[in-house]
Amino acid sequence: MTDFCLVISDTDWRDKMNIHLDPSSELQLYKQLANQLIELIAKGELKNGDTLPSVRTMAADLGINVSTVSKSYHELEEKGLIELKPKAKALIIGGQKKELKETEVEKVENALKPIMAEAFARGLEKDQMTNLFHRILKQWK
Amino acid sequence: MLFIISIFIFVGVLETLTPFFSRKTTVFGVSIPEPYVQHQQLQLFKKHYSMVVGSLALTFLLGQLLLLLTSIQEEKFVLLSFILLFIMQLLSATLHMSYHIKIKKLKKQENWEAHVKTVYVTDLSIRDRDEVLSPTFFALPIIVTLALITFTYMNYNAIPDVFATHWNAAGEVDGWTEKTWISVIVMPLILLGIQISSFIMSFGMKSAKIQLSAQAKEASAIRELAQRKYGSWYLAAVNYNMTILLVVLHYTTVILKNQTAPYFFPLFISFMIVSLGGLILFIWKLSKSNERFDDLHTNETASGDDRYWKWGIVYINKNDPSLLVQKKYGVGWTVNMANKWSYIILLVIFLPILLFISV
Repeated sequence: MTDFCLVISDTDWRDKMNIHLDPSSELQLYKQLANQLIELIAKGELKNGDTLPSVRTMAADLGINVSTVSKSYHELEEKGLIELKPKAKALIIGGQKKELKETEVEKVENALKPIMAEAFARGLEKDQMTNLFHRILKQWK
Repeated sequence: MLFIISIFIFVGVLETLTPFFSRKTTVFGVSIPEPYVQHQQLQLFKKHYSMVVGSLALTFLLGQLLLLLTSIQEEKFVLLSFILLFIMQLLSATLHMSYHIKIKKLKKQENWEAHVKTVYVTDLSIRDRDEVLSPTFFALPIIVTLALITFTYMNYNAIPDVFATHWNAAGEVDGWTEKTWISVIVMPLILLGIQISSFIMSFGMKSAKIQLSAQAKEASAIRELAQRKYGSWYLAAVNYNMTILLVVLHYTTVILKNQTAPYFFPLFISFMIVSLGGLILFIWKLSKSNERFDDLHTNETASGDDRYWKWGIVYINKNDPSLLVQKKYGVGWTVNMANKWSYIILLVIFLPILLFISV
C-alpha cells in the first residue's frame, strides 16, 4: 500500500521543485540557488506562506557549505521574497499579486534596461524582443 | 545448539549479500560517479566478495553440522561457533578494505572525476515527504524505565538479598547478583542507556542529509525515503521489544521474586524474532526500492563525499551539522564523529556497562 502511494506521488512532484546547481558555471553557487528559488516563486511552485528547508538542512541535502545557503537566503530576504526569523523556517512572502510601489517598478526598469539595451545593440529586433518577453512570461502564467 | 546455528546462517547470509544492499552509487564505501555505476569491474568485485564470503560461511556451517554428529559438549560447540562467526566477520571486514582500496585505485587510474560533471541537486519537497519516526516515539519507553527504577527503590526493602541475573539455554539460573543500591537497578540502567541513545539518534535520523542522485532523482528519492522510514521503524521495534523484555525480566525477578518464570524463554525468543525478522523485512523493503540507473544520458553526477569518510566506514564531516548519516556500506545509520553528540551516545551506551564492571 505504501509503495503504491509513493509511486502516485512520484508523478506530481517530478522536476517541479528541483534545485540543480552547477559549480562549473560562471554564476556563483549562492546566486544560482537564489535565482532558482526566485523562479520557483514566480512559477507559483513556492507560494506565499510556504516554508523553505532550514539553512542547515538545505546545505546538508545539497552537499554545499552552510554559508553559501545562508547568503542566498539573505539575498532573498533583501529582495523582500522571504522572511527570516531566528529558530524558525524561512517563510515565503513573495508571489502574491499586489500593487508595487513606484520606486519598486523603477528598480525593475533600471535592472532590465541595460540587458535590453545590450540585446538591441547586438542586433535583436524589437519584435523578437517582445516575443522573447512573452515567451518567458508564459512560463510563469 | 540449533539456535546458535540459525544465528550463524543468518549472519552468514547477511555478510555475503552486504555489497548488494548499498546504493548503487556507493560500492565498498567508495562514491561512484553516476556515469560509472554500470562499470563492469564494480559488478565483478561485488560478485567476488560474495563468492568468497559465501563459500567460507558454507564451509564453516558444514563443519559445524559434522561436529553435531559427534558427541561434542554443548559449551565447546557454542564457543567454537562464536569463534567461527568472529573469523567470518574479520575476513569480510578485511575483504571490504581490500576492495575499498582497489576501487579507489581504479577510480584514480581511469580518472573518473575528470570525465564527469559534478552538480549539487536536491528537491525542495523531499522533506515534506519524509516519514522518519518522530522523537516522541523514542521518548515514551524512557518514561517506563524511569518509573520502573522509582518503583524498584520504593520496594527496596522487600527485594531478596540475592537475585538471578543470568539464565542458560534451558531456562535455569546460572548467574546470581548480591543486592546493593546499584545492583538492583543495573538492568533498567542498561535499558535506559540504550533508550536515551535511541532518543538522541531519533533527532539525528530526522536531520540526516538526504542525498539525491543527479540522473535518477525520483528513484534515489524513493530509496532514501524508504531507508529513513523503515530504518526508524526497525529501531523503534527493537527498542520497544527490548523494553518489554527487560522490564518484564526485572519486575519478575526483583519485585515478584520469581527467578524462573515459564514466560522468560518465549519472551527472549520473540525478542530475537523481532530483531532478526525485522532486519530481514527492512532489507527486503530496501532492496525493492534500489535505484537502477538504466538510462544514463549525461555525464552529470551528484557530488560524492569520499573525503569525509575513512575506509568507507567512519564519517567525519565538520560541515555537516547532523549527528547521523546513512551508512556508505551496508544499511542503516552511522554517527558523524565531528559532532560532539556522537561521543555522548557512545558514552551513554557504555556507561552502564562500566558501572556494571566496577560494581
